[in-house]
Amino acid sequence: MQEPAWDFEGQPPFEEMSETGINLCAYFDAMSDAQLQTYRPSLSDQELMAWDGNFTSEDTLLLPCCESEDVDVQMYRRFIEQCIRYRNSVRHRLSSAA
Amino acid sequence: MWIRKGDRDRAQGVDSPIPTQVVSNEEFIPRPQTEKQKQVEQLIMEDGTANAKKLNMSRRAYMASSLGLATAFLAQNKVFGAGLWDVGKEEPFELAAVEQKLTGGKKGKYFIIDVQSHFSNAGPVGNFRNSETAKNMGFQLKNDGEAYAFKNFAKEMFLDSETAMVVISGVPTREEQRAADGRVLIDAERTPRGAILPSWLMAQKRTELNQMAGSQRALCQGNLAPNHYWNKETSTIDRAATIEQMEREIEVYRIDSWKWYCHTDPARTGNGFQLDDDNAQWFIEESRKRGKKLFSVHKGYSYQSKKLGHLANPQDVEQAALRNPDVNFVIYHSALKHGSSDGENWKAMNDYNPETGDFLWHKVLMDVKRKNPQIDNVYPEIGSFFNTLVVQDPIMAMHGMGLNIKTYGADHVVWGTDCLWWGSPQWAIEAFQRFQISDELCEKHGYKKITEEDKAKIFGLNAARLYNVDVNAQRKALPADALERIRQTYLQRGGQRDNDAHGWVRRLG
Repeated sequence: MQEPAWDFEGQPPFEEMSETGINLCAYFDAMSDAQLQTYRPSLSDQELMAWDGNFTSEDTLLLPCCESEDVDVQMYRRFIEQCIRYRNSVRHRLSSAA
Repeated sequence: MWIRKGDRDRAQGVDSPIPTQVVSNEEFIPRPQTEKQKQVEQLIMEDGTANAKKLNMSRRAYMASSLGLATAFLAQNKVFGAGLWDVGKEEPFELAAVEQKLTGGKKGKYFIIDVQSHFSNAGPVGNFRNSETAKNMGFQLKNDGEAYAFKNFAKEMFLDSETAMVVISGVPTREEQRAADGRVLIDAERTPRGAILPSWLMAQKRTELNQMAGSQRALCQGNLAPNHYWNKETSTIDRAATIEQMEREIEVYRIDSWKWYCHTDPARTGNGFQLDDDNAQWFIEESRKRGKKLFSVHKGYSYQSKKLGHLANPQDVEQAALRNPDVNFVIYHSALKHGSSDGENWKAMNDYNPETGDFLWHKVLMDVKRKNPQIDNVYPEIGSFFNTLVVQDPIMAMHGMGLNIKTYGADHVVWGTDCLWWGSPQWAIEAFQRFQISDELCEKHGYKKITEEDKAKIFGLNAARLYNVDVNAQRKALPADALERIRQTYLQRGGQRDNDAHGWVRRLG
C-alpha cells in the first residue's frame, strides 16, 4: 500500500525547533505508518532503541548531519508521541487522497 | 543498532588495514556491508594471517604496516577486478618494494596537507562506558571519548600517518557570546550545551599543536556562518552580533578559513542559507574587508528534512563563485550526495550514469564548471569522497577522481580525509599514492592518467596555495621539529597504528 504523504515536519512546531528537531520530524515522516503504530509508550528505553534500530551504542539516535545536538531517548519519545497525534489527526484524510 | 567500526571489528576478530565497509561520519545512515566487501574482508584476513606467518611477524604488526596494506589492495583486486591497484607480488613481503612503488624510494616525496580533519571534545560520545548498552554488549571496548578526542587525533594524524599538516575542520557550532549581564564570555563558556567543536576550541588546539611541535603543523577553521546570529523578532540576520563574532574569529582565534554548512540551523531560525543569497553575500563582503577570502563549504551528505536537506546541493556555488572571483570556495566531499542507505544498489540509488560517470550531487558541482569554464575559484575537496568510493567500489573512485581532475584540473582538487572518522588516514594516503585510472576509463571518458605531479598538487600543493603555506620552508622546518622527533621515537619503540575506524556501522547479530 502506498504510504500517505506525511508532513509532520511541515506542521507548526510544538516546541522551539532546532535543526535536530526539524530533522527528527523528517525522520518520522519517513517511518511507515505500520511501524509507527507498533510503538508503545510502555517500551523500556532499551526496548525502544531496539524497536527503532537506528540508535548507536552510545544510546543516541544516528540522525544524519545533526552535529550540534544529540537525540536521546527522552527527545525521541517526545517527538514520536507528537508525531502519532499528528498522524491520528490526518490519517483518514491523507489515506483517502493517497 | 550502530556501533563504531573499530568496535565491530574487535567483536568479529577483524583487523584490516583498510576499512572493509563504508563507515558513517554521522552525515548519513550507515549502509550494510556489501557481498564484495565481505569477500575483501575475508581475503584480507586469510592472506594477511598467512603472510604474517611467512614473515614471522604477529598479525597485529603485519596489519599495521604497509605490507598489510599491500595485501589489502591485492584483496580488492581479487574481488573487484585484476589491475585496479598496481601491487607487485613481492609487496606484501618486502617493505622496500612498497616504498619504491609509493614514492620511488623518496621518502617525503609528497607534502601532505589534510584540509578535512576532525576531533571532538568528547561531547558526542557521551557517558558511553556507563551506558546500559555498553554494559550489555559483552565485549571489551575502548573508551571512545578518548579515541576520538584531541590526543588520539594528534597520534593518528601525525604519528600514524605521513600527514605533514592538518586543517582542523569545523562543524555547525555557534558560539554563545555574552552572559545574561552582558559580560563577554570566554573559551569554554562560549560552548553551547552539546556542541562538539566550537571555533575557540579549534583555535586553541591549533595553537597547542604548533607550540608543541615548534613549527606550523595545524591550521584551523571558524564555524561562523550567516545564520548563526539571528533577530527572531524581525527574522533577519543580526549583523552586529555577526560582525562581533567575525572579528573575534579572525582577530582573536586567527582562523584560516570559514567552514560553512548551509543546511544547518544552530540559531534555530527555522531555515538554512545558500551561498548565493543576500546574507551570504553580505558575510562574504564583510569577510573580504577583513582579509579573509577562503570559504570551505560542506556540500553533499545531507539530511532528510525537506526544509533543510536541499540546501546541501551545490547548485548555489555557481553564482557565488561568479560574483566573487577573488574569493575561493573549497567544496567539501566533492558534493557526493550519498543519500541512500542501500549497500548493494548504491550506484542506481545515486543516479550513476555509466555513459558519463556522473552521480548525485557530484554532477551538479561538475556542471558548475562545465557551464562556466572561466570559474577559477572553486576547489573540489575529497574527504569522505575518495576514501568512501575506494571502499564502496574502486571503479567509482576512478570516475569521481577522473571527473574532478578532468573538469576542475589537478591544480584545483584538494586532499582531505574526514579522519578521524576513518581512523588514521595512512590507508587513504597509500591508496592515493597507488591510485590510477584504468586505460579503459581514460579512453571511454576522456580522463587523463594521474601523474606524480598531479598527486603532489592534490596531496598538498593546492591546499598550500589556498592557505598561504610555504611548502619549501615547511619541508626544511618539519623534519627538525618536536613532533617529528616524537614520531621517530614512537616508531623506534614499535608504535603502530591500530586500524580502528571510528565511524559507524551496523552491529551484527
